[in-house]
Amino acid sequence: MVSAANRVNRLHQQPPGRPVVIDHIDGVLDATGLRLMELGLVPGATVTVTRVAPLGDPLELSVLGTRVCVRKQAASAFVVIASSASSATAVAGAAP
Amino acid sequence: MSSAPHGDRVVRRIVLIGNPNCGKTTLFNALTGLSAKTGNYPGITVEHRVGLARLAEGMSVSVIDVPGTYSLVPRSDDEAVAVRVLLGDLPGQTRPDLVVAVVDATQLERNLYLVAQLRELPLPLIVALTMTDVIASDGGACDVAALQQRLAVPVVAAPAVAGGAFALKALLAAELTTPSRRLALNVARSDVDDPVVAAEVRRATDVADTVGRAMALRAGMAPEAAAAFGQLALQRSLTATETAMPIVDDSAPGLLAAVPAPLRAEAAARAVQARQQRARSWARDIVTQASAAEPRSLAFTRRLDAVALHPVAGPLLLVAVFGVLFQALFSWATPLMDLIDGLVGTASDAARAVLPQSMPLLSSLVTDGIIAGVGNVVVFVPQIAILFLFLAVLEDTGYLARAAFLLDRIMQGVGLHGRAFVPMLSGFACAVPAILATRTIENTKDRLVTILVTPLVSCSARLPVYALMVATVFAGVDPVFGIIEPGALVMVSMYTLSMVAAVAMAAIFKRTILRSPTPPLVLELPPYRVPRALQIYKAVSARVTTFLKEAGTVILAITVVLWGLLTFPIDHDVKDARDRAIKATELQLPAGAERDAELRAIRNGAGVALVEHSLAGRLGHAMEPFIAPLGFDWKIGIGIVASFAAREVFVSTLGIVYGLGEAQDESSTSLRDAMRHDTRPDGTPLYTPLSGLSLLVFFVLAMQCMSTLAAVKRETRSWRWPLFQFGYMTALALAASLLVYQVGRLLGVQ
Ligand SMILES: Nc1nc2c(ncn2[C@@H]2O[C@H](COP(=O)(O)OP(=O)(O)OP(=O)(O)O)[C@@H](O)[C@H]2O)c(=O)[nH]1
Repeated sequence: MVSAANRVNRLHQQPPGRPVVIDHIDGVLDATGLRLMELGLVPGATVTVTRVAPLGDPLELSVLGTRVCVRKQAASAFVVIASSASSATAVAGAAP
Repeated sequence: MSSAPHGDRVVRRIVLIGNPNCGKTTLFNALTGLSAKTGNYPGITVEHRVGLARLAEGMSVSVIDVPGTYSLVPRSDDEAVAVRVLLGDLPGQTRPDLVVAVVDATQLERNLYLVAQLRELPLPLIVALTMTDVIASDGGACDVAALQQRLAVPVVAAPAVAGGAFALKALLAAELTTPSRRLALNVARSDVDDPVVAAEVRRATDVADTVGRAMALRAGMAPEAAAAFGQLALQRSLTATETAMPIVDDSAPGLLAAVPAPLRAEAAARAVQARQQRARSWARDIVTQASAAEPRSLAFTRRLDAVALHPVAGPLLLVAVFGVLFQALFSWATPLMDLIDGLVGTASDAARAVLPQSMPLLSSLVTDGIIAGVGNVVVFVPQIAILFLFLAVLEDTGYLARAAFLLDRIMQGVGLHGRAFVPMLSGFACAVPAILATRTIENTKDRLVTILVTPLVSCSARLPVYALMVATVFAGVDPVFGIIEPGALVMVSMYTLSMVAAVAMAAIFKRTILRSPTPPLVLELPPYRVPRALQIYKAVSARVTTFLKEAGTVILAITVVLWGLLTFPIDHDVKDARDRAIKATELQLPAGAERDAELRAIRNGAGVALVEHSLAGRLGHAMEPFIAPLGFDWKIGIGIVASFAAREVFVSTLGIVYGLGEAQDESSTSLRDAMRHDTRPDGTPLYTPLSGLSLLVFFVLAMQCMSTLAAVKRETRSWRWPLFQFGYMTALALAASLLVYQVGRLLGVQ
């Protein structure tokens, strides 16, 4: 955890197409954060960034089988970990 | 819309609630057939629909369709109305007798969150599953019985196929006759291992429970509702929206605010998470797919989106789609509008022929007041119909959501709501349909900001004024840098000014009187669907009829008032002299071109004197001291007063004032010549590039359009905002013109 501060993985930094699992929500929950939780972005849920808008913002997410668009700023509150499906490659990738 | 007596019984009320796009409206239509009416609750601009459904012989119920919502903690006025209807939290409203949660079976888990929230309240509830036909046609299945058992409320499949609502009607009838036992579930709470966090959550939850008890009391609900209400209040305390929800806001206010926000956030987050877990366990294995492959229904959407949201093709398609819309508003509507103008002319001529010659005033009132007024209203119909036709198709197919995704960044950059794009674009054609199109902006304050600045966007009615001024004062000016036509430069500058003004004023309003947090973007991309003709027809005709009825009466009334200003008081000496001269000429000259020219000259000459004598003329003179520093004289003053009817009227009014008759348009050379030769008392020309520029700036910024004001009145349901808008735009226009003219003079510009 010591050197993890700058390695914290946030939803808005995820490359499109890789499923991740939400670990927790950083900071005080606001209206948008609460709405995203209501739409399924709760700790433990699997979510995939599926697309980035042509101008770099917003993001398209896939969660609970639906497609939801959010701004990067809102997505940045969600701290994620590699999903178990892709964790093997993620660990291998983090080796160096 | 309280319970209406029906026979000797009171009609019972059913409310349909569900996520956006879950098929609620389709179900509503299937239940109510053609009896649906769109209405507004007093003081709320959000529309809702009510209709009668015949469930069985002699059993009719009133069905209410409310806006779609993802949860009972509203983020927009639309969602707030849904929740307030549900809780009987509207003036004069009672709680509905039965709540139907409409659930999209293809997105079961997501949709069940709302059901989880509803299950915590002691409400009579049933669940209707839509889109089950989609699952079936993809080769899958949906276990309705298992879901019913897990939810412990009646569940029925009600797909939008022939007879799909049949089972639902039977269930509704049964539930209303002998309601099944309903127990509210405990509020979802998750186990918290960390003792510190657990204590925090408990502290926030205890306060929430206290607030919840006050709410339950207020709502007249069983005490078992307290915990669920407390959760609503707790979550609402984190959302800081502007939406009204008295049942929450007025019950024990302040209590929750005293709990530190992080504690409240923790407690709320835990409850949402626990509810999601509940939804997940309910949904598990209910819908089974035939194969692991992507269902056919989604493959089509994915392929289309590969183009529509493609980094290069997507924006190009967007430009093409809105280019067609713009083209339609700007030029395809023109033939229809010309046709309406022509019909108005024909009607006027017919009226003039029928009305007695001895009563010229009546004839003038009917033709120049009433018929012209009706024309002023109807002339907007083509553009309104075209705009809403496009919007309805784009919305119904699902493309509008894609457009919002592509455009969000830009609109955020200019500080406007993402959905303000369509109104602003339409504003280049006409502000009236544009203002009606602000409906799609859910946040009231953002909607008001858009309404307030849209008329600054340079509409097509300003073009004749621009064209006349450019041709009159800039025609002889040397090209800039030897190549750029000054006229073209002026035109481009006016359009730029209008856009800068709109964006700047939006920024000012958002930071001052209409301050609100940047609306969060949470946008769902629904699957593409074939647009439904009936749905679209209904949307377009509803917009057109409300415009005709509500804004139309105001426009008609103001047209008649303006007619009065330009007509009264009548200078009888001038009129008598004119009539004598006309008679004499008719006796002296044989019928023919020469006599017609002579008669026209007499009429036009008298017209100048009559207008000058009228209230509008006096107003023009009275305004002169105020508008002289802007470079305007009383004749322009009359033009400004008269063009309140519509900006292009400025041109024909100048025609009257210069004794050329009212049939002048911006390409008339005689009007341009008359204007060029007009001088101030000191002999200098009245229309110089500088005074022309000042006038142009005035027309870009001033609210010279009563029809827009009528539309704003219709949309904001009060005179407050249109009057404020008129005030700020006029002040802005006066200030800017003054600046242009005075600075120009200081710099020695002519
Ligand atoms: N195949 C199928 N399509 C449906 C069904 N119900 C609704 N639809 C379609 O789903 C789309 C959305 O339906 P609406 O009834 O407009 O949804 P809504 O919940 O009222 O949406 P809001 O506009 O957010 O209120 C439409 O294109 C409908 O034709 C259904 O049971 N089966």
